[in-house]
Amino acid sequence: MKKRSLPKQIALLTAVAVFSFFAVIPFLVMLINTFKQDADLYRPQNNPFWYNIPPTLDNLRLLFLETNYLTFVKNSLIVGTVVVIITLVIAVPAAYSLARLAGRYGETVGIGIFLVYLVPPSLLFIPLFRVVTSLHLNDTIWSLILVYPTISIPFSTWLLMGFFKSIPRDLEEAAMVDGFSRLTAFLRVVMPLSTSGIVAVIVFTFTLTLHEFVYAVTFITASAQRTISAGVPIELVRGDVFFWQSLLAAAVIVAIPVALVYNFFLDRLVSGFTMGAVKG
Amino acid sequence: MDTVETINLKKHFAEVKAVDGVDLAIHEGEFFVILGPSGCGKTTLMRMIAGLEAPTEGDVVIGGVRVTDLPPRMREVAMVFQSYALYPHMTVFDNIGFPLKAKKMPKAERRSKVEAAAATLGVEQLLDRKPRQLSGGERQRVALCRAMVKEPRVLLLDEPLSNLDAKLRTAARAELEMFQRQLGITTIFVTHDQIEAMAMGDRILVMSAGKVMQVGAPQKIYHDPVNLFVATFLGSPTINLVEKGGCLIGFRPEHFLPRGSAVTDEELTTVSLNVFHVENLGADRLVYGELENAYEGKLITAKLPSIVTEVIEPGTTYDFVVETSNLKYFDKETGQKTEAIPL
Amino acid sequence: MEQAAQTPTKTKTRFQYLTDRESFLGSLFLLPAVLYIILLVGVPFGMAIAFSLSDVTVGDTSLDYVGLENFRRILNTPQFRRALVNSFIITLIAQLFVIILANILALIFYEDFPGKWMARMLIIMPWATPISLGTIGWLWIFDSKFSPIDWVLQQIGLLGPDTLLGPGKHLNYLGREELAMVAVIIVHVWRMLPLATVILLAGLASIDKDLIDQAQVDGAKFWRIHRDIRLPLIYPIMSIALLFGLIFTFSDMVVVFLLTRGGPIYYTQVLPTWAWFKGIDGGNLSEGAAVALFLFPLLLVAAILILRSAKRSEIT
Repeated sequence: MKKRSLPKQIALLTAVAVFSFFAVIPFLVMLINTFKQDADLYRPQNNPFWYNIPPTLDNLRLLFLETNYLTFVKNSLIVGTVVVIITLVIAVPAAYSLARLAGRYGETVGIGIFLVYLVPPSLLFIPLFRVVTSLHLNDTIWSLILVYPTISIPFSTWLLMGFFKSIPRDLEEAAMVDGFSRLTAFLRVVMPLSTSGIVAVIVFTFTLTLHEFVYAVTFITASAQRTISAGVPIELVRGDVFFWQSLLAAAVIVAIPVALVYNFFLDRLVSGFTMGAVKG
Repeated sequence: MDTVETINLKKHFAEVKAVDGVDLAIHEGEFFVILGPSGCGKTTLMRMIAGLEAPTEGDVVIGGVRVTDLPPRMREVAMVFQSYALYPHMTVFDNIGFPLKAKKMPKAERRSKVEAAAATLGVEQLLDRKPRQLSGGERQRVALCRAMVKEPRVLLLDEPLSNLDAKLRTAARAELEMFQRQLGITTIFVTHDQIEAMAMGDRILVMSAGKVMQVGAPQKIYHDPVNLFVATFLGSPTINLVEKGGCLIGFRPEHFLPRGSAVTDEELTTVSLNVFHVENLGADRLVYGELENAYEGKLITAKLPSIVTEVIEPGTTYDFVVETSNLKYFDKETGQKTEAIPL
Repeated sequence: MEQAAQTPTKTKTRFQYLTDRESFLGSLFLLPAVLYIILLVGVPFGMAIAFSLSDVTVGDTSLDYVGLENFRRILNTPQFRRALVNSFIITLIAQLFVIILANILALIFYEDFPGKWMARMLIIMPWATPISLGTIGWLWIFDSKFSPIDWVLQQIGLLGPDTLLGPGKHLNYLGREELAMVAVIIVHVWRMLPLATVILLAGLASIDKDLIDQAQVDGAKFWRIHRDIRLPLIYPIMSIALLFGLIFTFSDMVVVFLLTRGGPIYYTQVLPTWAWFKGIDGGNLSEGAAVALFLFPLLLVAAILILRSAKRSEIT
């Protein structure tokens, strides 16, 4: 491996710095402003990147105690967990069926299911709004719990399908000859070997429920029922007044941990996107 | 009663006839080899016997019971896959004990059976390891252990030696033979390697393109092949073929000697061999030459044992002989065995 | 020799045991997923079409067929026409930048350098964060009174009285038509860059090292290697990244909704936001559905292209 020349190294690191800065600048700003006092923040001539008056925890106090933020967090966690469970229960068998039991048309159906993932909420939200209202689920988190799996199931099925395919058929067949039915062979041999795929699905689905905005803002208007994604931008604005520091704090508190977790599982998720076009 | 029978077994995939009407009867305790080139259907045949493939037509009978509709776990068979298929997430102990778990055997009994089986195959030291920590030979023995521990009626082996390196293979082959003889279990062994087949089999089934070519003891099918395919598939170097009058006449290289070295009272047929090339392999010499009427103009081979010391030089023509009784005749059109004609 | 069966039988059902019947298990396992998709995607899609051809509103639940009236009406609205155009402009320009930048970034991350894992984490953040929350950050950055960008520009003398970008002290990004469009595009680029980069990186990593070594032995230098060997080989995966980006950007509602609400006036409306304002905010479900349906053709084309590209390059 050739050692890189100094000017090249500098150029490389500079480029990295520039891109990183661009990626991170909103978070930096959010983080700093979280602790800024009003008097500091609302003076345009003050340096926005540092504290001209000592930082304060007031904004956080306001956020946690005087807004519905914690309720939003609670709602998001509930929705996330239930949707993950629903997704796993439905997607895991579907993926196995397509990977092993569906023969030649398995691949085609799998791609078809994946394409459903590309039908966006912004197309379906109006009829779904009607559906949700007629089921009297509007203004409850159950509307989201019902609808979010339509997004998570297709992608998860596709992801797991690729995963199951990579497990040699031999192992299941050996288990069947050893004395187990196909179903038991699946549970005892394939599932234990699939933990990383399952974890990827859990991460993907959970972050999906945290990200989703369109359905969240369409189906729910009651403040106490909102999730983070729609609740923070909409509810933390009182009338015309933006409580900026709390708003930005609310955003960054969720943004950073989610980003960290996502980072760990990136490779597995990307392999789902590249659809076997690349050996992941 | 035969332990395993197949009756007109067929497996068709769309237009491909992987197995096209196979009738088999395997005797109890027999080491039965299914031999054929890649793609001839031998593995598909075995998988149908195991229950991993559903036949398109025909039946499988094990121990007198028609098992065609039964899943593998109800057939009292055990199988060793070409890849050994050891469960990577389990220890060797759990791998071997897995079939017993399926039978819901209590833990203590399971343990003693696993340890006994492991001792028989010499893998007791490995019980706590994971498959990825084992060598090829060790994996093969663990796979065998797992197969035997449930005391099956039939043992199915799918090219179990082909993943071992050449040196290990001969040793493993002998071990496997002795093991089978000791246990006396009916065994079906699938391979494309004719040497393995000849060495190990009580009887061999030669298969080609989904059909049975010939079934018989190794010596019988070697010396009395029923058609051209069997004659050319068995034997290394390949049988020599000469064309005459719509007939193909074959003789094996080891039956083809220079006249001076042939010491026998039997009737001999003589031909003129124009020698091209000689290879000295130590134990044998291979002589390649040209013969009039050679089928497809191929070179004729003679395999001379080292006791034949006659000097053979390339570029010279010699008289070579073969015992007339060793000549095999095949119809050129059908490839089937046919009547003798004078050479 | 005994024969347990007299004649060979044609086997139709394999096993008597349910848990072994492959076709049964296969269908059973697949059923819930298929049902879910049909009921909550297929049916709503049909409903969207039905709505667009009717006069349904939030108040009036009856579905009376009005033919193409809705489509005619919205095509005559300047806001809709603007939204349609904007959707395309924003998507195409944003994706152009994304692909170019992602190529550069992927090449950078192909190399090793100190702090790489940290940099990767930072680069991923825009994609990993909930879109609405990231957009909030940008909302502050583009604020008309307190924008940090304005402050920096003032400090370096580019903004304020007697300066290049002056005389005002603030650039009012979200209040001016062109700047608002630029702001929206910037946020979209910011969000999509990580995904494209990671996909391209996977593509680069999958190129057989032997090919690169061979090229170097043949005497090719960096840019030639990149242009003649790497680019053609990652072309399929780059097109997948591009198509995903197009789909996600084109169908996105969040950025415009939170950043500009379609303003100033309606100059940054895009199809999804306009559908929302018409259908949910305004209560006119049928017109909203009609607007949203304009998303479908482009998505369909993109999906077909992805399908074809995936089939062609499939190694599975």
